Order: sequence, then C-alpha cells, then structure tokens
Amino acid sequence: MRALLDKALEHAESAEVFVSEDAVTPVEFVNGSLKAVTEKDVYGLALRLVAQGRLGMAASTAWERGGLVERALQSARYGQPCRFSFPDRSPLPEVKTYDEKTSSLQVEDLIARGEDILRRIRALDPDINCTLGIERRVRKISVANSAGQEASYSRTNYAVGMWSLSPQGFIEVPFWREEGAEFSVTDEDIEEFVRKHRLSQRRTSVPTGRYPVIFTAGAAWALLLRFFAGISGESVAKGTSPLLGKVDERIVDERITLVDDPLRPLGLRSLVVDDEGVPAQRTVLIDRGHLKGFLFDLRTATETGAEPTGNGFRRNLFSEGVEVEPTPQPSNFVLEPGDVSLRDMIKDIKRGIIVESVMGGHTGNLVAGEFSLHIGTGFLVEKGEVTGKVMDAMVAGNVYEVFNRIEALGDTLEPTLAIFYGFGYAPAIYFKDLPVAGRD
Amino acid sequence: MREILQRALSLDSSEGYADIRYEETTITSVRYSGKELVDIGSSRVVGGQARALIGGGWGAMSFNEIERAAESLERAARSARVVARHVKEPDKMAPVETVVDTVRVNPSEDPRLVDLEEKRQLIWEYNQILLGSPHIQSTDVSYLEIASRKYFANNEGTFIDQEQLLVFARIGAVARRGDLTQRRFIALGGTDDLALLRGREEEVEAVAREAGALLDAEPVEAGNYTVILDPSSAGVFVHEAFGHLSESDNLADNPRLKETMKLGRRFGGPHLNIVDDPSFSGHPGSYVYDDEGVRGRKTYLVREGILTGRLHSRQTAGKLGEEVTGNCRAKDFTHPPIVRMSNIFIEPGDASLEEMMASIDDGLLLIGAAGGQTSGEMFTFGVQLGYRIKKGKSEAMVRDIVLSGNLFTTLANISMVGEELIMNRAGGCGKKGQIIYASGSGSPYIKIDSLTIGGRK
Repeated sequence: MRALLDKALEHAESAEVFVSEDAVTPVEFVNGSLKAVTEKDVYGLALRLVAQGRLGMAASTAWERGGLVERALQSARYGQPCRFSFPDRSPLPEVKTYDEKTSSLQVEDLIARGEDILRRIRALDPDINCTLGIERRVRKISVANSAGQEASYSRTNYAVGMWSLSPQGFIEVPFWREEGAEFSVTDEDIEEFVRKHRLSQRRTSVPTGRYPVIFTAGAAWALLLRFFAGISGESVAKGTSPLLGKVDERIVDERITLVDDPLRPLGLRSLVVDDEGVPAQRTVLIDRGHLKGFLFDLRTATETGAEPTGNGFRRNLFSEGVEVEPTPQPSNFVLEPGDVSLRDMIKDIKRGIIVESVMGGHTGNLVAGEFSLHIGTGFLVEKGEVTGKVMDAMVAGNVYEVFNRIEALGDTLEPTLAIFYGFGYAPAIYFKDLPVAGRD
Repeated sequence: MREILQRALSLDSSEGYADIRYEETTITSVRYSGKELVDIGSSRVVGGQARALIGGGWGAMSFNEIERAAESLERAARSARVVARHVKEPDKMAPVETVVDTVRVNPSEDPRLVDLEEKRQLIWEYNQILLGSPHIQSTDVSYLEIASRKYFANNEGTFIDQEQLLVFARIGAVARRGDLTQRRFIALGGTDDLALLRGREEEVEAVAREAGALLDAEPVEAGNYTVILDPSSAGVFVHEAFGHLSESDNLADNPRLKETMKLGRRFGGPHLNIVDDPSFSGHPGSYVYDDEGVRGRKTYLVREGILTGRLHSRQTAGKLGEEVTGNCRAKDFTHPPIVRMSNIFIEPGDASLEEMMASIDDGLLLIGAAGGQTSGEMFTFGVQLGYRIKKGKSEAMVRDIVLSGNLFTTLANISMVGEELIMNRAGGCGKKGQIIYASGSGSPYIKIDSLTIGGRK
C-alpha cells in the first residue's frame, strides 16, 4: 500500500489507497441435498488522488501500480476540483468486529451445521422441502492516505438463509439471519419456521381497505431505507431531502429513535473506520422523534459544510467493491426497540396483517418517504390469532406520516437485510391502520 | 492464455468436469449528480474462477492472479469431493460439442477508442439540458462502458477467447415543488456502439418536461385496473413476472415447481409469444457464448400461449434431460455463473395502440419501468408515470404507481399485443447477489385486463 501511495505522490498533491480482501465460504443445500461450495479468496484496490487540485480515481483487482496511478491521473485531468481533503491520522474506536472462532470454521463445519438444521426441520415435519445456505465471510479493509491516516480492521460475518417451498414449488416461508459471529439456529427458531410453514397452507386474501399492520424485522428495512434516503448526505447535498432545515424538529412519534451504530460489538456491519479513512462513530439520527443528524461521506460533508460521520462506503444496494465510488451509506442502521412483545401486538389485533417480507422495497419515490410494497410473506391475524397466509396484497404509505401513527414498537432487535446486503437492526413495528390494496 | 488455462485444468475428465474462466474487464464510468461530477475514471476487474463437478457435487474458487488458476482448481476439486460425499441428487452436465473460437466486437463507433473527456462532454451536455429545465432540482446522469475480454476453457477441450462490450447512459431528473419530488429517467445506448448515445437531445428534453409535469399529477388510487403497458414497462413486466420463473436453476431440484412449470401448460392466449434470445444482436443482453462456453440461441419460452421452453445452464439441462440454451452467466469472476435471461421479449402481435385505447372505458396507460422484483409466482414493479384512460381517451397524468400481481393470472389477462417490438436500452438485473447490466427486455404495447395497483387512497 505504502509503495502505491508513494508512487501516486510522485505526481499528486495528496492520495488515498483502499484495499479490501475477502475470503468467503458458502455452503448451499438445495431441496435438502448438499449442492455446492463456492468459495472466493480475492482482493481489490482503489486509488484516489488529487492532482492540480482535481480529484482522480481508479480501481483494480490486480496489483498494477503503474496502471492504477496512470488511470487515476487521467481521471484527475478531466475531473472537477476536489473540495474535500483526506482525513488526518486520528484515534480509532475500539470495536469488536472479528471473531476468531467464526473465522476458523471449515467447509466441513458449515456442512455439519446445515445438515443439523435440516435434520431438526425434518424431525418436526418430514414433508417440508427446504433450500438452505450458510455463509462465512472474513473481510479485511485497509485504508491509508497521504495525510497520515493508516487504518485496518477485519470483520467476520456468519449468515444463515433458508426457505421452505410451497406445494407449487415457490418460496413459502423465508428465514434469514446474519451477525458478526457464528450463532446457533435454536429449536425455537425451527419450531417457529415450521409453524409458519404450516399456517401458510391456509391461503387467504383481504379486500382493499385499512388494516392494523405489523412489520417484523424481515420487512422493516423497506421502511428504514426510506428514512435513510432522506438522511443520506447525498440527498442533503442535492437538496432533495424532505428533512432539510428540520434539525431539532419533531418529525415522527416520540417513541422513535434511529441511530447509525458501527460500534455494536460483532454487529453485521460493525467497523472501525469507513472506506475513506474516517473513524467510525455512533450517529444519532432521530432522537425520540426529533431529527438530529444526517450521514455524510467526505464529499457530501464538504459540499454541505457538515462534518463527515464516517459513512463513506464503497457499496450501494446492489454492488459492493473497489469499483464502486464511496457514497454515504449506513453501517448498522438501528431503530431502537420499544417494550411490547410481538405476541402482545398480535393479541391486540382483531383483523390485521403481519408483514414478514416485502418485494419492491427498492422502488418508488424513496427520498420522499413514499412506499408501496407487495407483501411477500404476510399472515392474517383474526381475533388475536394468526390464521393464514395473505396473498395478493400491497401496503402503502409515507414513512413521515405513518411513523407519527405507530401503535407500538417490539421489544426485540433483529437484523434486517436490504436486497443483497445486511442493512441494520429493527424491532417489530405495529401500525394501527395502513392502506392495503387487496383482492376485491 | 489457452496453454495456461489448459495446463491448470489438471482434473482428468474421467474423474469429473472442470472449467476455468478468466476475465479482464475495464469499466469506464462518468456520473453527474446535479451539477457535481462525482465519478470519472475507470476500474479494472481482472480475475478468474475455477469450478469442478465431481461425483455430482460442485466446488468453485475465485482468484485474482492467473498464476493461482491451478491451485484454485485443486481447491475447487477438493470442495467438490467433500460435497460429493453428502450429495443425494448428483448433478451432471448436459453434453455439448467442444468449441475453439475467438469472438471480437466491431461497433461502428468503438467507445474504447474514444477519449474519456469526450465521453464526459457528451453526458455533460445532456446534464445541462436537464439542469436548465423548469422545476428540476437535481439530476443523475451517468455513462457506463463495460469492456471485457473473457477466456474460457474446460477439461473437455473447449477454449473461447471472447470480447464483450456494453455502453449506455442513464438520464434521470428529479423535479421538486415544496415537499413533493418526482423522478423520471431513461436509458440510451445499450449496445457496443457509442454512436447510439449521440444526438438524443429531444429525448433528454422530454425527461425534464415529464418530471416537471409529474408535479401536477395526482397520486394514483389503489385498486384493480385495466391497463396498457408501454414497451418499457411491459419489457420489465415480462422479465420479472415470467422470465425469472423460466430460469431453470430454481426448478431443476424442485419437483413441485417442475410440475407447476410443466411444458405444455397454457399460460396465455394464442396471441402471446415470449422469447429469450442472446443472438438477437444490438441489445443489452446480446452475446455469442455464455460463461460456460455454450453458444447463445433463440429460445421460445411461450408459443401461442403454451409453455414451450426454459433457460438452462449445462447443469440444469443435464438434470432435466433438456437441450442447453446458453444462458449461464456470472456478474464477474468473484461469482459463479447462474442461469440468467439474455434479451427477453414479447413478440409483436397485431393490435394498434389506438385499438387498445378505444377498447378501454376506464383504465390506465402506464409508461416507463422503474424497477421490479419477483418471488416466483408473485411480481411487483414500479412505473414512472401514467395517464387515466376514460372512454378510450387519455386524460390526466397520475404518479406514484406500483403494480403487483400473480404471474399466472396476469399472463392469462393479457388481452391484446401491439404491433411493434421496442427493446429497453439498459438492463440491470439482480439475482443471488449478482447484478448484471447486460440484460435486455422489451415488448410491444400490451393490454392487461386486471392488475393490482398499490396506493395510499
């Protein structure tokens, strides 16, 4: 890294080198049978530099020093004046992001864990067909710049994803969990999974109308993503955020506290430093209903006169890698829990819907807070009991309105996944009435 | 390269199947966010993946340097042998003929030979048009060029040295009034030819105009509607609602889905024909060989309303005992190739747009796809704008439109198919953690008799 930095500084005023190293081991079971182990052991590097006041960038998955510097200089020749500077050397927080035991898991260990989960499901219901994946990742991030910052950390991740199949062969009940270290899928998790699968065999639809709706963590990301779109430094810099000028104003119910928390021990996206060398920090975004802050990378912080919050990451909803330029992204985006159990929420409902997964979470007018989500896995609640699976329904609203009318927040935080990547943590969110388009 | 790869392919074909892909891809991008140039430059994606299929079990390993090809194949083979000990339903590859071939692209204006500054200037001008238009608060205008040289070799003797090239621009504008923001976007290009990105000022002006007009549109009311989908939204509809289900990887090990998707099942009326065709040149999903070295070909998925085919890798074709189709592709060397659509489209029928409009008493004309998703039988996708249709006439503009439906009922509800096929100019399809831009879709205008639209009223 040092050599590349030095080489760049022969032609540039300042420079930054980013290196990612990924070792990934996934095991994949399809329809109950082990199918594949598709590993990777790869690295990538990215160079940014400022030459004659202009920002240049280049990335590669090959150590080609000369080529990288040349391409970054070419980019700088046409690029626009760089207004931000790379961060100075500064103390880094102590964050537990790496678990030795998770890192040392072997292919055979993952296969054994997968077979154990499938065996316990079959013991409860031999007729359930399941597809299951377990993935262990070790990612090392290193950033060094000419201002003196030099930081590196490794993160482990362990993820279990599975789904059961409907009689027609489609996804019936999904299960997904990811953390920064190995966890066990408990017997209670498996009983719950099997119970939901059986409940799903009773299919039902609801007429268009307003219903009490609970979003569990599996679906909550789609709502949180809309808050993120308004809180992102990108929409602040562009002037499109509806939250501009509203700092310290109450924007949602006072029970809502939203935090970006990279310091969570062994969280799914915990980290020490962002991809631009800015130390990780916990940022309160909404404190008891009041807007408190936004998330910035170096560029958007400078453009808006704010301080960077350590949220510059080389990823977006669909891609992650050195070829993706840093933009403001969440670390662990956390909606703080409340004090009501999911069981009590369900008991409170006469006729309503539990939404466990959604489709279309990434489409629509996100920045404006608008959502119109197809209910992927949803259950009908009647007189406090879950009675069947809801088919053919959509739920809609605007987060800035509906989060003023929440009924309760769940008492348990669970990880939530946006499209391909872990997004943060959320409790169950209970709304008293939301518009649902059903089958008329 | 041929010698290096074939030497690394140490696995004897009597023990199993093995292949190695190696790619050198240059991604050139320029992006304006509002008036800021936020990205200009190029990335190099260089690396490979070795795969082995032994005793019916798969192992694979991705690596950066070509020097690691041999050890990566050994690692993949070791994993495959472990999997083979546990496997209940062994996989096998469908037989194909050995190929040795070289493929080069030859566009009328080759973007690889054009200076970066000229590319910046090209989209800067489009960005200026948007920024200078009324109500436009912000823009997102980008140029993306993906130029690959891909090598493929397997232990059956196939070796392919293939160039692939895709260049397109995305033109997006956000209009704002008070708290209300509205977005309109289109794509240009979508082939190997830079010339198609030039001289498109009128379309760019329309983007700004329509984004502004959306500020005065009413939010659509939730409910069921008779709709006409324009070619852009109908293309995304056929991709999401039907295309993903025709990808055999979900089906090969899933007897219930195999039953649901039995060839010969009726999916729609006799006017419905759905095709996937990588050899249909000049579109985002066009290519010669897939990432398993199989030549792409035209596949009729639905013919006269009847399910007649599906898309395959060699593995799924082998498992199902069907012909290969050449549809197995990977995002890049860090991912395994999986079954993907190439260019999927509805073939033209004989209805004019006027006839479709005249047949609708109360409905919606929907324009411009805005992304979608599927879970198999259910699909959803956003549409950028719409017009109410009353008594055959197009009336007020509506906004905030998201559709959803059941694949089987919705395909059966396609009652009219228009005369002219128009392909989308950019793809972008995510599946199993892999987004692929080289993915095409298209359709004529189609009329669907009932679709659910979500909304707040």
